[in-house]
Amino acid sequence: MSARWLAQPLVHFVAIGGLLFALDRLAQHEQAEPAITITPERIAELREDWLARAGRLPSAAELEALVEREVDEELLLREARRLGFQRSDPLVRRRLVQNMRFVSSDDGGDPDTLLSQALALGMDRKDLVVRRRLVQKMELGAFAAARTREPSEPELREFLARHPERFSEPARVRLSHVYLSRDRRGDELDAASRRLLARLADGHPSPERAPALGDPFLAGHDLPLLSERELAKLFGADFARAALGLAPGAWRGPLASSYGRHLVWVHGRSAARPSSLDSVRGEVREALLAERGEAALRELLRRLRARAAVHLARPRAGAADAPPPGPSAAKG
Amino acid sequence: MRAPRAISAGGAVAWLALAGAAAGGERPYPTSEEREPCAAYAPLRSPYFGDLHVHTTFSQDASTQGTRNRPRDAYRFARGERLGIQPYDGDAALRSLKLERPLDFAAVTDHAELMGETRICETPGLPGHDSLSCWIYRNYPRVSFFLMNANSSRPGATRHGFCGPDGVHCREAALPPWREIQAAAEGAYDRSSACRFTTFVAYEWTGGTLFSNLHRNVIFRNERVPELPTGTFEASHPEDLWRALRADCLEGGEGCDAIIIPHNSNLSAGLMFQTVDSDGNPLTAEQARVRAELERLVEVMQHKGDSECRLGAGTTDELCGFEKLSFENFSGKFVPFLAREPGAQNFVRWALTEGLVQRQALGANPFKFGLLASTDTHLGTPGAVREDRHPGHGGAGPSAAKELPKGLPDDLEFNPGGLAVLWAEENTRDALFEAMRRREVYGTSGPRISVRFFAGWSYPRRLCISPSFVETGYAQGVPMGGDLPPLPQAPGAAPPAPRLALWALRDPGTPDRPGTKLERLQIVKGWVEQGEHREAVYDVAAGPHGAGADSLCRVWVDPDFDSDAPAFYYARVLEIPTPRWSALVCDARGVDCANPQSVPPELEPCCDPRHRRTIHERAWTSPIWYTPGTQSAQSAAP
Repeated sequence: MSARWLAQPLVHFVAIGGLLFALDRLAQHEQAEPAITITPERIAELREDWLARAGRLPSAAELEALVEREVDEELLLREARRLGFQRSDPLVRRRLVQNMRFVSSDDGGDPDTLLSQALALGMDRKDLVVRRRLVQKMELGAFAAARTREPSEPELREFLARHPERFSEPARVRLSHVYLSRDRRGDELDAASRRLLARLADGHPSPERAPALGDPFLAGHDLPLLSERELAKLFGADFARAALGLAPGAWRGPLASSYGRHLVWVHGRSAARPSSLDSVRGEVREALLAERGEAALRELLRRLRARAAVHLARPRAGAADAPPPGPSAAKG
Repeated sequence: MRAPRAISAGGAVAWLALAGAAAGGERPYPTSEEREPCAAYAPLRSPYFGDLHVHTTFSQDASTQGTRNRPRDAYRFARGERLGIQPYDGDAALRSLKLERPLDFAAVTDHAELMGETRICETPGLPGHDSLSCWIYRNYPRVSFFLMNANSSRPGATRHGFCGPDGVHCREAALPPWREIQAAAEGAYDRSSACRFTTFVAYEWTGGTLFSNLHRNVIFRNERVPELPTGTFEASHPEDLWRALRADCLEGGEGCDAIIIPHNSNLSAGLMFQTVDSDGNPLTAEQARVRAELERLVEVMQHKGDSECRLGAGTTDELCGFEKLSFENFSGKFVPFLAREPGAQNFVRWALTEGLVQRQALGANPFKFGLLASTDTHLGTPGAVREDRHPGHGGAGPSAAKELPKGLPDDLEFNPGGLAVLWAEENTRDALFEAMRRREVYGTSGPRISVRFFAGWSYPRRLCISPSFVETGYAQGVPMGGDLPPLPQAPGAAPPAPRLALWALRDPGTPDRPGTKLERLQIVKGWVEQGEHREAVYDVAAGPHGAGADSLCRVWVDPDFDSDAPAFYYARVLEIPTPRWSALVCDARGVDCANPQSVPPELEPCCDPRHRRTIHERAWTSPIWYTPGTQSAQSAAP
């Protein structure tokens, strides 16, 4: 006998309503939590820590980020404690029990009792290792949850459409070139390349035969359709950028490469275009899951912030003790 | 086995026909996967630069050094994104690196061993997490590094007790990292026609005796790979690894294919290229054949030094004095009185020559290696080879897990490592894998030098000024990694000598940092005379008056050719010497060895008499082999 009443919309309505009510009560209850306060003293500490590790004071933007991070950590820490991770996580348990044994100089003692004592002393909030572990557990949990659901076809398509810059076929040119070697031509290089360009501009010989007038080039003289990056591998970055901007159908240049000068004939171009989903499915899936992980963590933090009051002693921009951002503050 | 295909003068025509077919989607090499063909398909092949030796946080010797980067991060870095590295302040990395030129391909090669152990020790709640071994791992990472590696690298090793009966917990715990490694490779592999980047699923088999490395990287052709990587717990000896790979992949797995790349023979205490098997019996023809089939390439240089040759160990070649370690295995590094000068048998040149001897005896050459280099980074930063930005390497060097080392960022004898370069038609897994299989590959100590190397009997001497160097190279001979075609028979005439066509182009550099000019080209020849090893090094081209050149080319005819002696030839391309990473750091810190007061204790290595202030950056091509008498010339041409 199947419980058909479970499929009734009214039952769903009541169940969901009840759930929302409960959540609302819960949220109101939690708003009674003490506010998160980042004091000026704490901000000074953050600056000192940064100075000690990085060898310079943080810029205003870096300090702002440190403070925001401090708030996030506190929020995640509170949530981890609310979920009881300070009791359930084995690493945290052992650390706290060890701490208690050390403090009380007592090697014996029941671990559960010691744990309760450590928690009563607030060690789970003070011990740096425990704090980090609890925060990390929250973050990894958010990432992992976001990866469990396989992205659907429409989601992959939507992601691809949203990131044309990451998933597109680059513009390409197909070119032939006449090479003049710096090794061989020395000081004559520029004059020789201009003379040869003038000769080629007359249309003699044909583009196919022209490369024989110059020097041999290891990668050849008639190249396949290449992108700027692929051209840069063969000729250097400056040549690649210039070659991609050349108009087709005539000898142009001379363009400088890492190896000398080149007279270039562009045969054709292919414009940049979006990739098909099938060709980049693996990359898109990976990028989408990574984005979801980040989004899940941001969403978690947003929810936590929404129900906690945060009081910041904002670092004052331009204050006398705030260093100017940039390299002038750098040391060592 | 593929059928041998003889090359003939008509080869160029057949080859061009194949190239034409390729434009229509057909490829002149076997394909094993579905993907778009590359827009930049080059029938005459292009050099692709990459790194086939990369560790991430899944390697215990990287994670105990504070490395947090995962396989995904390593691939992001190889593709040109900025990546944070240790030390960390909370979640914020205090250092970062970026490649100004992305790589074309990379393979993350985390250790197959300890993948599960590392995960158990780091993941509360997994069985074994609370064991003593894991406690040591978390609290004394350097001690754990020694204990765990000493245990896993000895033959007949069994897993730690915390792995449970038959190591079941550790094997299960290794599944998620191995799956993540595969997912990361898939996620970073560009299957579109843009072909920006190729990844390989791979791992390192970390066998050896106590502290003497017999390490090998296993590179898979495509996404079809065994359920778990085969480590030393499952396969103690190289023979066991070959057996397992054949059973689980080459013969057992549908579409599965793999090659093995041994590395760091300089740290093998002479064991990497033994002519006996692991039981001490002389190699059999079958063992030599299996090894030649699987171990196609060798890593000639990386972070932990050069393995080509050693001055004074069977050679007077002065350029062998390059990035040398003063010990032959890791017990020599950590316990100085155990250090022994490495003998000739640790080096690839010796192995290539011994391979000729073994082939005469067995009919198969167990040491028929193509040459490449890689980094062996333990920071998850493939291709970070710049001397002026060497951040250390994690792994065996000083730790930056908690804070930066006060002195040099790495041990004096280590270096940033090199690159692997593969000649392929396009940047796909199949095309690159085929390049590795036919050994049309070379290594560099970091710079992006391009080098072509062909051998035949009839190349015109003026080939270097011909516009068809490469076409003629393939049509009338074989590229690097191949076998010379049979000696042409001309009745009554003296046999000809091999002609080697060699052309190198310097690194094109970047706008802010031009590549270094080339100093000279060399041919290294090894041969066997009455069972004795012989070698000669010839300077075959040089820039004007030591000023260096953009491009050097030569068609060289062996003046000492003996048609009865088996031989190999490989090329070495040398840049003009440039400052070494250590000298750059020492100078930047104001060290003046003439003034002892300028030398704080932590920078004393700067003034070590063994410190070389310059590095002679270089490329090594794969050899081309000559075998007298009848031979099955397996063409390496397309």
